[in-house]
Amino acid sequence: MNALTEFLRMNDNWGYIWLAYTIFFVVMIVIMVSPILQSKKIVKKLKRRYERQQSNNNS
Amino acid sequence: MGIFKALWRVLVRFYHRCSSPPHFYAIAGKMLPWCVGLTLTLFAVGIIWGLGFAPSVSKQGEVYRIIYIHVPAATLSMLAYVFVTIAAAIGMVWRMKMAQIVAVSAIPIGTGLTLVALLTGMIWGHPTWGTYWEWNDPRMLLVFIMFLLFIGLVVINNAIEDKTTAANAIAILSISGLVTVPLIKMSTSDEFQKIVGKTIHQGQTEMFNKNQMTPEIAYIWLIMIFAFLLFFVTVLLMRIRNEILEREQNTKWVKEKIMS
Repeated sequence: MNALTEFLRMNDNWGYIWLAYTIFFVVMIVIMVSPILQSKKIVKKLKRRYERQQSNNNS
Repeated sequence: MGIFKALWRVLVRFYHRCSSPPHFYAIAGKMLPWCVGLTLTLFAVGIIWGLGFAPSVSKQGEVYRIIYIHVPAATLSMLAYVFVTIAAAIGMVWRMKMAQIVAVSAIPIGTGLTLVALLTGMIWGHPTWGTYWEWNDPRMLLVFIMFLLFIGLVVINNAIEDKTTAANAIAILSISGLVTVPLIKMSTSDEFQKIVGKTIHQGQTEMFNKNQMTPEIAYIWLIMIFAFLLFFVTVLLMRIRNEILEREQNTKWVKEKIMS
């Protein structure tokens, strides 16, 4: 327990170090997740478009 | 000689295959799981080693551990800017569609990396120099200018509807701002500081000079640089695939891909 507290305290520099790493994690996750969400959106949009085209052609 | 000729032919064939959107889409799809796995592994190793096991530095104590994210982010942001400029220039000069797609896809990644470099640098600056920001510091100012250039490229890409016009505008802006990258690199040299003014950043650190950096810190630093590089490649491949789908939506192969 003491070792963990010591590690988290980072010799009283915890505020700077953990804030920097939190910003790093948040920005990197946003950069990595945004193209995945974008891809799902594009595939959904295109699927709807092609289905509409197909139904128009059939009718 | 025969080996070089064969290698050259393979490279030329690979280049031609990559310049075709359907082929690139397929190749990127095969590469992505490996890239994601390797990126996450390298980040995990680098961060756990850097935060938990690397020795502390006598001058700065524990706060130096921000180096493992700040320096690779700054290095990669500059590389991303050069990469965007080269791809955009190729797209403009040779009207190569894939180069335009690559340039456009790399812009948001470069913007994010520059933001990480700026914010982590500000946080590190407070305990080290006693200030979050110093407008008179040439390196800080130049990185901030590069960030604004990236923002400008994002705005251009979103504001101009015609993809070719947007790609040309991106090429012109990125080429005109390219000078910031060598200036950032040179900003800690004595010659540069004589002309522009003193920087509070320290000078260039030699990675494997034991007086400047212990080998353990240098190894973690290298791991993190590779992790950031792979991260850049991974997200770039994802974004390129999205951009290809958007631009090629009227083609038969995209229709077949989506409907299958």
